[in-house]
Amino acid sequence: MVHISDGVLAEWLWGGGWAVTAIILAYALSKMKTEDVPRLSVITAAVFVSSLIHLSIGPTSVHFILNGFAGVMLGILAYPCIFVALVLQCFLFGHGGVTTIGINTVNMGVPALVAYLIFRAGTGLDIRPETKSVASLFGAIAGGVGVVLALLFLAVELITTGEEFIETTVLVMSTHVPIIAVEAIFTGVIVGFIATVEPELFGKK
Amino acid sequence: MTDKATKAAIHVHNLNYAYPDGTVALEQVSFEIQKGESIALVGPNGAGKSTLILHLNGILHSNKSRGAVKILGEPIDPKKVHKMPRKIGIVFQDPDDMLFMPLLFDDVAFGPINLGFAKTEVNRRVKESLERVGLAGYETRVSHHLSGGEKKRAAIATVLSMNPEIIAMDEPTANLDPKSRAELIEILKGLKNEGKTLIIITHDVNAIPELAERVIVLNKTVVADGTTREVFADTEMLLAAGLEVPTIMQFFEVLQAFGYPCDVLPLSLEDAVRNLTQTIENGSGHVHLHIHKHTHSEVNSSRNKHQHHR
Amino acid sequence: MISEIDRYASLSSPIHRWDPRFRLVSIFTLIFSVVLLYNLQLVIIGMIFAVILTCTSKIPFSFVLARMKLVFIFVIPFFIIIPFTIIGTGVEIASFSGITLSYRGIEYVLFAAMIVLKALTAVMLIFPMIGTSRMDITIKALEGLHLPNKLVQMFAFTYRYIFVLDDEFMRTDRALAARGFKKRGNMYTLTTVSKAIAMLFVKSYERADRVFYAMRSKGYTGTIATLHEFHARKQDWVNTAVVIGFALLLQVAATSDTFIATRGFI
Repeated sequence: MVHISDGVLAEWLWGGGWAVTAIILAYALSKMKTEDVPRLSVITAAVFVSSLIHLSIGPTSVHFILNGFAGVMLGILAYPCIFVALVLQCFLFGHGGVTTIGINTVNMGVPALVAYLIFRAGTGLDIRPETKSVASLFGAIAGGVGVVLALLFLAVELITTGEEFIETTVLVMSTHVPIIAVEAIFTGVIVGFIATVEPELFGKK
Repeated sequence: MTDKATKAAIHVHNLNYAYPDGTVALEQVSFEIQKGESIALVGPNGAGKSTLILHLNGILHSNKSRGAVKILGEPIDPKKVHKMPRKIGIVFQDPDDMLFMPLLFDDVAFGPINLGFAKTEVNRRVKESLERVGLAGYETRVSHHLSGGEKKRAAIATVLSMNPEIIAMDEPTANLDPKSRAELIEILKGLKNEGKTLIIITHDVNAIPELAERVIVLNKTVVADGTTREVFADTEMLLAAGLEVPTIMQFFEVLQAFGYPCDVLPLSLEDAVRNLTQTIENGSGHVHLHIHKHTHSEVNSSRNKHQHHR
Repeated sequence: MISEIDRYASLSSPIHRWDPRFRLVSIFTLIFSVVLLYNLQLVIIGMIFAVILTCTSKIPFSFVLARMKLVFIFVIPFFIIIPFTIIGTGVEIASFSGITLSYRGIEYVLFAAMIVLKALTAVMLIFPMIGTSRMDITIKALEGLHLPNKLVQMFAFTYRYIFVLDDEFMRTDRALAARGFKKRGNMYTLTTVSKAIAMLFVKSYERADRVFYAMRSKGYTGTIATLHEFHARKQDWVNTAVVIGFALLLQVAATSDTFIATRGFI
């Protein structure tokens, strides 16, 4: 439900979403080397496939969002990856909307960048099997923050669109609390795993 | 040796390579392959075979490898990897790594387009390459819908379309059903007869006699290098390298214990047929086999010789 | 398994024959136009046009409907509780166990219906837009529309490797199941699935390296050139004029007094 469908938000919001996305995307693409393309694409595909996995927790079914994780692994280049993943999700599955691709990318991508900054500040990107627990801890924080911010963005957008959305927003937020924990644990485990198995992947962009 | 005709297709001299984590993958590897030769590169898992062929077009390189590899007489310049496909094409082990475009046409056309050929030439090459691997008319097929055997052949077509003089292949017959395997071997034989220089990584020892006249055994360094027959005669070395000789050779060794007269063990089924025909003709229409006192101990020792779990 | 949006790309219809570059731009514009509407009647007219386009494309409606069900899952929860929670000033219609359904609630249902119809129309239009040519042609059309080359390449490769990795993950999933693993809502499940995904990522990086090696072995220097060429015909321009014309007409109509805007209901 974190993807916003067409027609829900006020047009200045989704219009602004396109503008912000266009700017960050242009910047990220200028930072991207052509030889990064195959690697980023395979990682994007992996994020895409992993986000299809559903886990039932209590009465609800949650799936991984992985924006924090993408940020941790890719830095600024997570933004084009998230954009491509969301476009394909919209066209292949009808998740989210067409006009809202811009704002949905903002909602996922900007928190991913924040998650990256937190992870970088916490670990200094010095990741070795010996520093696994620090990496894991900040991975978890980054993963959690990725979702919290995404939800926060969504909440602000819904409430700005109309007061009538307040109750819904509260409901949506409360059902997503377990996802914050799930995503934090998940990102912590996976970052710890990669730090042990293949720590040099963190340097690879 | 500067004469063009005598230039080796592949010349490797003291090639060393270590992975970023320091693990040594290749150590003082040296060998030379002449134009038109077809060689099998064998060795246990983790012996550095795949790493070696990635050095042959400069994809993998390090300070230690500078100048160690010459292709058609010229040392490899890692900055000019994109010029290498005219000389040497590499068929990767997993065809999914090679078929990265949505459509088979685009995958096969990828190389020729990069080499700067005109549209009509690209189309011609795609058509011809697909025909050569038995996939005529597959241009508009989507890669992920192909069967395992078709994918393997398609991956070869993506290299044939660049028409390189040398083709290196990483386990072309692995993971294939018997029919697909047979089809693939036919394709490789065709390339060999055409005069292409082939270097084939394989664990499929029963296919080697048909495909290669020479075998290089690699285990981080070159352990053995000789004609197929020479290499297969050294059972001890093969076992130490975790390999084995073709089943047909083992079988004729057993036949010898039963009194079958055979000086040179056949390597392949065709060899065996020839050998049997000759033996029967020499024996005026018969082959005599018998059991004597030592037969069973000879059979056992022959079989033990080839066992990995002694 | 990932369903393929381009399953019916090989059909023959006027939409299929429409130059994908023109088709993408036209229907994309139409989607934006419908989403910008704020009156129920016009949205319904837009939806009818979308249905006509989809029927013209000959894509089976069952295929389209399967996808549209998702819209309900995503959008309906936004609205279903609101009519009950809003304490209206209007006439009380019904009341169950303390929850009051008011006249304003009914008004709200109409507003919600409009939004749901907009979302449905947008999803439906994806089918004539994307589902009428193979995904690779669509991606080439993006190139033809001068999107940044790096972005177009990312679409092409990502699309290709989604299927490869989906298979790979399915194998991991089966391997887990074969050893008695069952997904439950507990910590063990979470860490196990996390590690399986972590492995998928590590393998993906390795795969990415190999793909890049394979590309370089085939002479890749950074740009992907393909041979596909698009040629716009007169009919392509006509189709484009009709669809974009309709999209503009909707916007003009929205400014007239005939249609009452229901922007918000407050």
